[in-house]
Amino acid sequence: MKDYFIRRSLLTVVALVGLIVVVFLFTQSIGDPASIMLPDWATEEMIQALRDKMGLNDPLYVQFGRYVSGLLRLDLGTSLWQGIPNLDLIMSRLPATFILALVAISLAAFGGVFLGALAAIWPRSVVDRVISFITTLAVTSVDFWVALMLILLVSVKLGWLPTSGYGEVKHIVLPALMIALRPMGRIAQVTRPAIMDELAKPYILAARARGLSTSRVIVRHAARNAGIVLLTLTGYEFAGLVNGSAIIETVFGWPGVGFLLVQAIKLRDWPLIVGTTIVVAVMVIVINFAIDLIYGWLDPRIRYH
Amino acid sequence: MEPVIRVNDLSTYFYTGAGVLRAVDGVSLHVDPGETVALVGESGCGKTVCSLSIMRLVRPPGRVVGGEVWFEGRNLLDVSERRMRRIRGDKIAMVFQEPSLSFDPVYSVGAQLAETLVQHKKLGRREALRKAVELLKMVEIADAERRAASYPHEFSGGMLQRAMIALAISCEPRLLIADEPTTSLDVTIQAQVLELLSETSQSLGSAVLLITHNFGIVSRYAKRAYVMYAGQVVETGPVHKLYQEPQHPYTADLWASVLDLDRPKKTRVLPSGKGISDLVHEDSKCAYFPLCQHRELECERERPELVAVDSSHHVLCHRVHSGGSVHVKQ
Amino acid sequence: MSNNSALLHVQDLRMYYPVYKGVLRKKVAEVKAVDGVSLQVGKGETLGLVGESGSGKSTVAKCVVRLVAPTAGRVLFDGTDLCQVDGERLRQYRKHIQMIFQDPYTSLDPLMKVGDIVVEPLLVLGILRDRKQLKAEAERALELVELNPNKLGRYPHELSGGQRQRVAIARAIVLKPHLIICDEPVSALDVFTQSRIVEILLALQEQFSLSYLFISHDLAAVRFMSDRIAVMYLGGLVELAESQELCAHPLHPYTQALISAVPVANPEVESSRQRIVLPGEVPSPLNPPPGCKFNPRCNYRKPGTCDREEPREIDLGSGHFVRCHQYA
Repeated sequence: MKDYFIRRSLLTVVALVGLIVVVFLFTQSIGDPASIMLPDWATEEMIQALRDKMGLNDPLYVQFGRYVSGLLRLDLGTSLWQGIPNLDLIMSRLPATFILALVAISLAAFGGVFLGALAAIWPRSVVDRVISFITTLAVTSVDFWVALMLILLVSVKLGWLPTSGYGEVKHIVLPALMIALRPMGRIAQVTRPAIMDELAKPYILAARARGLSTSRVIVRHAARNAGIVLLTLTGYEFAGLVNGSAIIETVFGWPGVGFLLVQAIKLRDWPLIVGTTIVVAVMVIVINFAIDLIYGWLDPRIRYH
Repeated sequence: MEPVIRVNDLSTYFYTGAGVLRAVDGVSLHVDPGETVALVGESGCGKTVCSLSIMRLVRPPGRVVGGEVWFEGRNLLDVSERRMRRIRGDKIAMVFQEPSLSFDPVYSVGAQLAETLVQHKKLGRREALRKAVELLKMVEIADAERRAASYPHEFSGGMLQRAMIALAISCEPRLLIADEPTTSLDVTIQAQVLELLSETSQSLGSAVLLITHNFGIVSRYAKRAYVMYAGQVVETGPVHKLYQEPQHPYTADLWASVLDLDRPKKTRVLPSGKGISDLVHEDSKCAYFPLCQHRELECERERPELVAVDSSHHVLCHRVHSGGSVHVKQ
Repeated sequence: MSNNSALLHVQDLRMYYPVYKGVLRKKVAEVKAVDGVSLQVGKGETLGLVGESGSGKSTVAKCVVRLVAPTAGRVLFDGTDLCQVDGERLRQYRKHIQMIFQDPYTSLDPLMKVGDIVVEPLLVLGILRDRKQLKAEAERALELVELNPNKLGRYPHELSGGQRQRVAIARAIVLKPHLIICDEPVSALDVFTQSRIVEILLALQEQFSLSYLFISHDLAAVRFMSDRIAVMYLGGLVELAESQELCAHPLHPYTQALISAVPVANPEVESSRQRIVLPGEVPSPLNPPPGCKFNPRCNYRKPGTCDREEPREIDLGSGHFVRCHQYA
């Protein structure tokens, strides 16, 4: 386990370094930030002045050094729009995105595994067909359209839930449901064959031959083994949600990272865009690292190799 | 003496898109207390499905469609699933072919042994784990305390099969069904495991139904055998009689085909063009008819019935009449 | 064990695989999969090679057909050391040495038709190009393995295990090789099918005076096929003798146990046979015991000798060789 842990940690560090370099190269290649940030009518002098102020006229290695040393001091620059450090701004938005992602992935994982398992236990039955229909719909849904329709129906027509907002349980229901929809469909579609595969394996037959009940065989044996496969997918879906679902957050006015990014792009706040990108990417890498560790805990075969 | 288990006219069919597969087609057999009986045949003959049918573990599209399985005064095909669960692993236990695939990879071997003991013997977890270590010692696994906490992938095939035997005997079953228990093991390990199986079953007084395709194993460990072909028992009797005076052409052909240490190079006659025929066969003729060298007109017209050559020796062949005997030994 | 007229002459073959461990995947040890094996196969002869898993028998096969390059030793084929030739010349030799594997399903391309599989070697080596001739060649090969030519247009998955193994044999003989390495060719097959395949191999041998290196864990199959048998344990040969002699008078304690472990079908013979059950398991080749590698499981172990000195090869005359301190 120790070897495994060390190796995963090293790989994570390598990924972080790679990320930092890629983001830097990306900011260099996308064009002149100064002219992007300034409005269309800006004069050449204005652009040059901003370039000087941002240090864009320094040699590349100086810029890179400044960028890296900033990162090491956890300095992601200052937002032009709000005038406060980007990190503080992003961190203030992260909890909202995180909570939404957590609720959504729980819904998706729970619902997906439940539906997939039901379909696996009675393959080719009516239950299986209905579930297959539902999950196909979920996976192919156009989320912003469904979201708007839901707002129209549930919030505007029926008045059960608020159309947007943040802070109370009732605010999170609709956006979480919307975000959970597609991951849930995908998880269900992977769960079904994963559990069916497990149920067909000899150790399941052996477990039943020992007199274990069907529910115990499915929950303790088949599901845990299938879980090893499902964890990957769930983890990646979660990592995707932590990026902040820009569209859903915007539709529901949810003060998360996705919404922030949309605003930053709208306002051409270059430092904030770069900062948000870095924070989100770091989150994804950290989550993948966590998934690897859970893997090692779930599957003894990984622990030892 | 009342047999431990008596199977009457058991049939298990598989309902597939291509038609109905008669995997088990009217099999009758019994095992006496403390006896080791072999169920022998090639792959696909239905011997595994037969054992799963006895345990009521056949999965769709397969279904037990008829027959009786008498065990301790009850027909197992009629009892509730709850009661059946109490019998599985406790009174009838199984040893499977692939030990490395028959343990759940994510739990330690000790935990899986304990799980069974908790289920049937109502032991506490602690006590069950202690008993698990004891059982591993019984099957001569060195360093049993540490081994109990190890995972299946840390065991060799031979050791896992010992652990599987420990699991099977943990509740002192009356009947042990061993389905090709050593096929995936090395030769010298095979010998170890089979000796262990026969010693432990003898010391517990458990009867053994030994399913195998290896005739050497049959003659080493079983006194009596059932020869299966295409879902049917085509011949049954004491092993020495099956060898010396096989009545069914299939039995004779099988013996003649065995690559055997006892048989030096190029000293045998081989039946030509043999192979198991499709399990989807017709009701109206002998299943071995297409491959039989001794076939007669009758064989194509009518399905044979089991006749007694003597009180212990039965055969499913038109050429044999009750009390009579035909030599087909080549 | 030296005879210069042999078709295949393996001399002191060694194959060590590195073992990597730790965070940085450092090389920490070597697995001596094959550690000093010498054997030869004469023209028209079958040499059986028996051993359990980990004995290194398949590694010997891989070295002989140069699927892997051995760490040390020589593989002389018709007097040429195959370890010293490369490229085009090695290709020329490959023509003469073919291989048949245990699982014909994984060794046959599932997307190719039987007819194409069988003649593929001819095409690859540029021996034949004419479609008509190729088809005739394929038909002839199938006939030799007693397979109906109507199978030419089938795919491997449409055939039974025995039929697939016949296709594999047909592909092996289409180049008219001198030597065929058979690695567990019948282990995955049924009783009837096993004996059919063995019969076909014997018939082909007679017709084309082929040589076989017949590798298996199944002593009965090896016995049936072979003129001489070599027994391997943990990377080295422990005994080699004429087939009849080896089975009737095995000398090495491992050979004795191996023979006794294989039950015989005749119940009368079986009930009177001696049963030797070896204790323990084959040790890991990563960490072999010192001295004689068999000593921890041996019933005749002499402490002080067997666990210290590696036994030398002892020639007992008439082609019977053994490596055991008992006979020194």
